Amino acid sequence: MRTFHDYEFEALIGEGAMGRVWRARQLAFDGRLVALKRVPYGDPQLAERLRREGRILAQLDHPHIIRVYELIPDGQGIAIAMQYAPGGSLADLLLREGRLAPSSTVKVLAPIAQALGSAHRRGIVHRDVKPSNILFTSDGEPLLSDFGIARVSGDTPLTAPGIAALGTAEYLDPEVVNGGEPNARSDVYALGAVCYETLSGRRPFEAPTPMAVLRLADRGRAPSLTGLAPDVGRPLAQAVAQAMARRPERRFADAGELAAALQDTLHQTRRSGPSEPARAAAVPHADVQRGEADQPSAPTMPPAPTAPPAASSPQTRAFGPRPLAPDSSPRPRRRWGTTHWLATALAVLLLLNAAFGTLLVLEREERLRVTAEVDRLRVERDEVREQRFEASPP
Amino acid sequence: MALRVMVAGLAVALVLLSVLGTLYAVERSDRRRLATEAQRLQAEIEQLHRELDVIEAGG
Repeated sequence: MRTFHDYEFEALIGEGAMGRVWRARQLAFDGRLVALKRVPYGDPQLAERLRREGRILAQLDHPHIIRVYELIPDGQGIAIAMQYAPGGSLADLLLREGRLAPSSTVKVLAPIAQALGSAHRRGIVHRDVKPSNILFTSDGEPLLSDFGIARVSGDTPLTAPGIAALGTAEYLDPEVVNGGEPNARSDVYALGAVCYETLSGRRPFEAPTPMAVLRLADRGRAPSLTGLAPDVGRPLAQAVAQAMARRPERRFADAGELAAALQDTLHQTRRSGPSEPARAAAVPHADVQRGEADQPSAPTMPPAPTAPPAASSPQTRAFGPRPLAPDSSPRPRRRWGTTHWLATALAVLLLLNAAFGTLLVLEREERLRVTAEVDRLRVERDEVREQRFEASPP
Repeated sequence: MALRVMVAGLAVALVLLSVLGTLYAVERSDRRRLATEAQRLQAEIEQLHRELDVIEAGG
């Protein structure tokens, strides 16, 4: 068995352009399982990114943020030992289940919102919140992971310009695409989009290319959540809509507020009685001993019509922003735009009606006046004609 | 719901506009016809007056 410092490699669980992720055992701690990330040699930018991720994670002591154990100098590169999450990712779960019931969604995402809120309070913006970055412990507790492109306020950005460096298109704040600075509200937008996908089984904006997705998000409005998932209550749908508001100032100020709103919806549901059927629970409870490939309990919900694209957790793929899988779904209707144009057309028509009505009244008055004048002239003509006949010689 | 109300409102407004437009066109053409008639009557009266003047002068 290969070893690396104090770690014994068990299995390669992810590999990509940005490095490798291993499941390993830490020998000094009775062989506890860890996720060991290593960047390729000779890439100082990746090494710096991993070092920064480690530093950020070390600042964040939250039960729903993945823990970092150690940064290990590795020749010219670097490795990082992190908490191992054997329960897979939310993306894996959605791939299997299609979508989650509202109560399960809140149970998974409210703690993630709290964790994100905790990062926001420390001036840290995650910038890549998405289902594949939400992992589960063996107890089914959600963990926020992959702070690889996170930014601390005041820090120099490491990422190069470009969409991939900004995050993942489906969860990307349109303001950031338009050149805005990523901030807590950008994370709130992304988590709102994750809520939407978890509740409905489809992403808010789906198009064949990332650019098309960004255009849709910038111009359009996501299809009604309650239309896609009728079991979603109005308070929850409103919380998601507020999180995903096109204008940042209309969103929750930070993820902590979103967490409170999500918790409130859970309480409201409880007060109003059990409205959700027993199919709700779908949070995984994987067994550490079975490993990450094992499946959680049998699916309890039918898959949604549009299955999400294949995804994997950051511990089973290369870390960093994930390339986007194309998705072909019809462009969502821009209901507000249509209503706006209809209202404008209606207003113009009403104005035209008023104008024609006024002209009609004026024209009618004028016609009556001319009619009277014609009648008067006929009488006058008859009189003159009579005089002429009388005056003419016999 | 709002969309349906808008569409219904648009339909009603369009029908009303076409009715008002037709009535306006009829009124306008009627007025023009009457104005022409008034001019013709005016000319006829003037002609009759001239004839009357000639007859009275000759008598």
